Amino acid sequence: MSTTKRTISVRLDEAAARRLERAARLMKQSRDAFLGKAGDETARRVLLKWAVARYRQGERSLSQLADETGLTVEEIMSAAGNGDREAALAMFLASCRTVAETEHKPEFLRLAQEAARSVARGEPATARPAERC
Amino acid sequence: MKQTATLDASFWVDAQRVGLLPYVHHRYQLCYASDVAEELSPTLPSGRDFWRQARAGLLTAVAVDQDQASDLGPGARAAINLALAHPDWILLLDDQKPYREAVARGLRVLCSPVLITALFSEGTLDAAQALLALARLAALQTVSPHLVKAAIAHVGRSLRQPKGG
Repeated sequence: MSTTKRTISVRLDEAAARRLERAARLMKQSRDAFLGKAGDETARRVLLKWAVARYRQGERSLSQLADETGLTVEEIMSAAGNGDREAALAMFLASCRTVAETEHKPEFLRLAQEAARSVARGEPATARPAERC
Repeated sequence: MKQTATLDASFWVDAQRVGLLPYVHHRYQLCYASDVAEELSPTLPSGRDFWRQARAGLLTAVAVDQDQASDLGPGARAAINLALAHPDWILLLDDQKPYREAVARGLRVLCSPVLITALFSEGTLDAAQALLALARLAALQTVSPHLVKAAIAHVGRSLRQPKGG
């Protein structure tokens, strides 16, 4: 990955410049470093929001979005998963409930509820395939 | 002898987060294109795991010689090109747009919900494990909810009721 830095000049009004200097001093950073970090964080936030919206609309692939924004596929996927996790699990359970009822298999719903609880608690994935003879 | 498969970054990230990678390795010899690797950053968890496994020799880099796929972004295009060059390979993809292109081109493509149902059908995963993987996948919100629903229905239909239940 390239470490070459580009210079971008920024013009600020008097009050904004004072705020920048004060904030950079508080963070024990140079004005350049402070502004560079703040600018990159904001740019990432804006681009992630844009990329997730495009991805959800099915307009572009994750690979295209990563290429266009300079973000990684994993960053975009993580941002896509920052939506309503509870609602996603509720939808999972609703589908399982429908299947359990139509198939007359109450055990299926019990297993699905256990799975959803485990995911909600954030338990790590530790399963391994069994060795076969 | 394991079947060879190639993948894109979307499948790798989902499979890593859901905990499917041990099963993927158990089932497939994994090959990847360098453009796919470049989309996985070693500074993030799934990317770090990818590079660790690549260094350990669990993943094999394969050059892409021909460019026949549409512009889907460098990684997805490279994964499809690799699969086109090796028609006997399985292509592992979770991203919908390249998935549709792969299907349209007649490639042997699998996404993670379908892989979970296959692992359940062959008895590698039991119903509880399959549902846990599907719940994790649903919570990630990176795979089409329709595919997750279809996988749930498959597992539900195939589940054997416990005796006396």
